[in-house]
Amino acid sequence: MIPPTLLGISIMVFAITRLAPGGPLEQAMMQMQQVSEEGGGGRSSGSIQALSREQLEQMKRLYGFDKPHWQAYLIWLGILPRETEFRQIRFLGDELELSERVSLPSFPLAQLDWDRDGYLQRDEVPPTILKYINFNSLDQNQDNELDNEEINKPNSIIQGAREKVILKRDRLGGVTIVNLSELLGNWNVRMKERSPDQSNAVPVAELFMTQHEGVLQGNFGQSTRFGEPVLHVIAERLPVSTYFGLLTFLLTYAVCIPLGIFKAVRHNTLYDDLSSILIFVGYAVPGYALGSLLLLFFSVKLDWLPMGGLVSENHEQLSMFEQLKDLAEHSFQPLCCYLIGGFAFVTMMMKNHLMDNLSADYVRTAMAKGVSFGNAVRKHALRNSLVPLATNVGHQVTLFVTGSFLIETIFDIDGFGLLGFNSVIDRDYPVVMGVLTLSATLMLLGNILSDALVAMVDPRVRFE
Amino acid sequence: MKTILKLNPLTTKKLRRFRSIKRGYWSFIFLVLLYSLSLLGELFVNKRALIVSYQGEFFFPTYGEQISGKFFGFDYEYETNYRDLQKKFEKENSNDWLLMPIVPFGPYEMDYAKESSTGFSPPSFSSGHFCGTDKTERDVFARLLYGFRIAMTFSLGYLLLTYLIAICAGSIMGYFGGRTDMLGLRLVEIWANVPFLYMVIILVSVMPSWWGTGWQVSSLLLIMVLFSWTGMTYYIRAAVYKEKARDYVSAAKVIGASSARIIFRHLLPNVISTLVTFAPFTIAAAVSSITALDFLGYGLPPPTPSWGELLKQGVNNLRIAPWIVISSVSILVLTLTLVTFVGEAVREAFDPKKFSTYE
Repeated sequence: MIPPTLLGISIMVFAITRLAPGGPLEQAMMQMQQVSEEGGGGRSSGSIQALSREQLEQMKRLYGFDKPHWQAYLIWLGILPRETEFRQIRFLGDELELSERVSLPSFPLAQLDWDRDGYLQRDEVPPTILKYINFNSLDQNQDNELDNEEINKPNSIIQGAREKVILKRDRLGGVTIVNLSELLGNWNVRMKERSPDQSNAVPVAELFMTQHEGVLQGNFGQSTRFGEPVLHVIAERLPVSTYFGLLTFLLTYAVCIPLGIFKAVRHNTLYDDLSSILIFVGYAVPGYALGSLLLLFFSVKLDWLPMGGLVSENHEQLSMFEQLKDLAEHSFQPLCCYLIGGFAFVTMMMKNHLMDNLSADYVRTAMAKGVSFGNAVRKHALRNSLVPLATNVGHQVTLFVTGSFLIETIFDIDGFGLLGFNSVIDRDYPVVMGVLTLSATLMLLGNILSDALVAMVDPRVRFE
Repeated sequence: MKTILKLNPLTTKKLRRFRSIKRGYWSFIFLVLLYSLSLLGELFVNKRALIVSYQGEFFFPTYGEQISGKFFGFDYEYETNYRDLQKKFEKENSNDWLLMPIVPFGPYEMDYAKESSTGFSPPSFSSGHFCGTDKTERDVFARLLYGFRIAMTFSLGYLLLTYLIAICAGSIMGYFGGRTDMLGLRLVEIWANVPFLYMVIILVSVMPSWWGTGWQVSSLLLIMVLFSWTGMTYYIRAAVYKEKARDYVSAAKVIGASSARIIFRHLLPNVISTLVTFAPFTIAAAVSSITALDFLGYGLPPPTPSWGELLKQGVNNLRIAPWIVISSVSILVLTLTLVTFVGEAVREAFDPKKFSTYE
């Protein structure tokens, strides 16, 4: 059931990012107005109208607001093609024919291996492309065929070629590309619709290429804040969050399982009560509140630990041992904050299930047959109590990557959580969508992993 | 509600069991006490005097109307500064007197009594600021107290609304089952996975600023409820499913009771116990999320007193004003811990486990 759910989530979020006012378009417009007002040097209020119709259109196109919502969503998904290399061509006066130089897309020749037989014969290469390659020099064994090895050579990439597009307009206003067959790629042309108040304006043709580049093609678009591909932006920040996620995960289980066992065996003793109180206080404290308290004592009052970040500025110059120490000093406080919330849940789960099992008949039988209490716990009850914990492992997967942006904010760690938060604030919607798609996928995968783990640990559970 | 309160022996048993769990019971008492005190907060922490005796007449400005400064012989029209009035009475050595609350500062009031106030006065008993002041010289203690009142009231409203929606959705899905259930579950699953915090931040930041505080707070509440009611739905659906299969429901059906009647009169009273066990945890979640939102600057509109806003100030001024972080984290932790203790006790009282132990 993953795909429909994912689709639903992305539609929901996409709709809200599109419909909520104050989006990237409005923000960029406000910025530009401020710039123009400052640059205008105290000119009259007419400069507020500094954004011309063209500029507005340009920005709408940049942020993908030039299309209806549903189309924009399908383009994001990669079902509808995206328009790239966009340019406008104006037919002034009675001009009927215009030309425009465009750069052709660069791509490896291997893409032309359409028939998939591993060979590309000379007459299989379209004449338009043959113009740009030196077939003979590529064809090393001179058999008039390019085999796989030859095709994948570095110099078999066509790049940087520029060609002239010739556009022709008829009297009725239709525009066609005359020399389409000589051009590579999918160039398209269409007349720009004129709004009623500018019916006398010159006809404008829009020239663009179409390409499917969406999530289905593994392309999440460009971040409007960083100007880099979204995937790149995300990948840069994942390792930090994964580092904390993994450590948290390992430490939680390393501490909670023994503690849970201890508490179950010593049920209702002073140790049990005391540790319960501690655990519940820990459960109640939000991680970021603890973080600010820790910062106050360890970093400000005692000045033992650094204020934030993941490594010191001079991290590169330190020796191996010092680097580790540096990292540990920086990780200690955030790690505490990550850990504190999860302790209660896992410990109590361990304790309760172990106690359930300890009072089950099979343990009583084992005890009656003379098995020592220690062995009854270790060999009989414990194994069964670990089963429910396995269900929990899958849910922790999300934590591996996402992290908590509140903790990241406090400790100034540039991780995945903070990225998501900042992208919401800056209205960097391509990143928001990318972050969400990734975390939703991980969460759903985590659920599946949980089920699989249970089936693995518990022989009674089988998938039909 | 009447039926549960009056004659359900199971419920009285559960209540008795809850009372026997000391930690949770006393936490509950303490919380209720704290909340009632905060509701009467004006009597303890306020800039207005409790009683003023002026020229043989008594005034009670706490809940009464504003009294202009001119009335007491000051040369200003706006509301009397009662701390100044107290000093004036003492200086004039007259028969007039007034009684100030224990902490004579309001949550919104900036105390610029001192000559050079730059904000962040440290805690001191002589100035009356037990927890110091924040960057605009507002009393931290007063803001914590009124922050508690607002956070708790907000959370109770949140609890009520989320349960209302969750009960409706859950009982419809559980009672009708089949295709309704399938479709409903999918929708709920999608809705549940829409990230709560992102949506709240986006929607809160587009809220028009010319709305009054009341409007802004209630729409914040609605937005939060809108994106977080889903969690409870699963439990209610499961509980309704379980109850539906029992004989009394079939009996009601045979008599000819309508679906609405069966759901509201027969099923709900039996499902409520599920809800009660989750209530404290819902409250705790609401308090911590409203605090987190305030901390990020997307919560209650300023200058509403709130813990998150104080915490933010404290974190930004760790070196200058450590008392802000200490006091706000303490009260936050105290409240959440008490609520968690109550929750744990309720859960134990409603679902007791008798363990055999080997000595």
